[in-house]
Amino acid sequence: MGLRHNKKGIVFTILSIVIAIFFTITFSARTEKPLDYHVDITNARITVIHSYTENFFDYAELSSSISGYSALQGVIEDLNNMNAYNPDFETQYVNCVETGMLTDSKVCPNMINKTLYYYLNKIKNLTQQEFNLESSYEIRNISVNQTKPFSIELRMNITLNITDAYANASDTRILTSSVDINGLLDPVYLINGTYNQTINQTSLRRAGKWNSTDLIQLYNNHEYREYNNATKFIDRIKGNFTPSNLGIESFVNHTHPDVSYDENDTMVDYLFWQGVKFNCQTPRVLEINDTSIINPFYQLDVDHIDSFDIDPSQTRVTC
Amino acid sequence: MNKRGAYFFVIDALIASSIITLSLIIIFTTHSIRPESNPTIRLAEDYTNYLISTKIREFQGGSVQNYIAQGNITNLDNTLMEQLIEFYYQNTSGLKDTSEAMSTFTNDVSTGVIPAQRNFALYINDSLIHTMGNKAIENSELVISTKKIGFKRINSSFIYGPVILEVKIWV
Repeated sequence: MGLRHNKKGIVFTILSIVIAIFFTITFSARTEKPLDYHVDITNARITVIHSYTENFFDYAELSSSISGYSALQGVIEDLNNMNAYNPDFETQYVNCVETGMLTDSKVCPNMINKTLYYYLNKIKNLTQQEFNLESSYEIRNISVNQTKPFSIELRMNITLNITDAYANASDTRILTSSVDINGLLDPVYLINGTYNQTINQTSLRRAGKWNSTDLIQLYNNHEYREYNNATKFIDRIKGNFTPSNLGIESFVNHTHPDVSYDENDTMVDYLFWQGVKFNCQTPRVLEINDTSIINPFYQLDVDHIDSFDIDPSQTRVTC
Repeated sequence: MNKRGAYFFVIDALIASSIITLSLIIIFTTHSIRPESNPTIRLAEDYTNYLISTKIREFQGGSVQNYIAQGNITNLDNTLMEQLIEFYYQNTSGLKDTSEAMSTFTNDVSTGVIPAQRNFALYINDSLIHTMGNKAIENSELVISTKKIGFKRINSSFIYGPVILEVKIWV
């Protein structure tokens, strides 16, 4: 009987050891996952490619705006050098943005390290160096036009191709970049004028008629306003004075020592520098004789007198 | 004999339960939970996305408000990343010394976003801008790094960058 009990004891002891070993093996066999177990390399690489694609197109949009502004400076500098308007503006400007050349043989001034290809190559090379991503791009159908009075628009089609060991990608997008014209020399003053003026959009916003106080601000600060039937910026470069609903205008400083005028002149820039004459007797041009508005002898055509809501009692005929 | 048998069984049971208890203790005390890399990767990614997508005007941190008041930050529509790049541009171009501003700004925008248990460093073009934490990166068992391309328009005719902004987080 005692032996039977002893055997039972041994059985239980062995059983407990077996259970202990079982638990030990079960839990010890649960190996730790490696630290980067969840990192899917392919997914991570695709994320990098996606991020680069977005960065590339954002950078392309911004750099085309920057390059576009520099190219406008270059084109205007060329106007100044040639002392002539540029009727072939669109073609030469696009060349200047892309390659830094106005034509095959004529350099666009001030475009060293400022062309669109220069900027895009920068981001392409940086990505190759830092992310080991091979990429190429192609720019097609680049064009320029004007849809707002104080900016022009660069539109282009860019295709980006990325080649990688994990994934290849290709994306084509149409980019539209706005190029601000503030801060640029006004070509009309540059070619036809006797002094230079920088385009500076007024902070004034008027839905209806302007008033004489607005005229004072525009005149004193040499500011530009939008005006229907004035000359738009691109036409100012081309020397084309066709009225436009995207037109801008400023007012000539009649006290400037280099400015001379007669009784038939209006001081609206594109009219004055073109030499457009108005009848002083009908009359189509008037002098503002209220010195609280402006310096004496300031003349404007009747449409502009009306646009500033100046009372006829504040004006007189010029001849 | 029966009495001896009872003692034997009791002692036997005690030994068995001791073995089981001891085994379980050994198993569970040695089964340490180590942090996985995935949450840290997500943290690094989330942090850089936060820098890219948050505008200055949406951030209410103390030093940022001071910099706005002092005129060191002028464009409230800058993202946090663009503001850092602008500071970096001013510093590297010699316009003004913004090294302290960059560090304070980074600390401000990172506090509460990077958990205190994590160590963190931010670099622009391999230059250390700011670091947080109490463990040296060399002693870390896990370092997660994420890089982003950044750039900033300075004026109508100049764009600064692209630069590489790198965030390293380690435990």
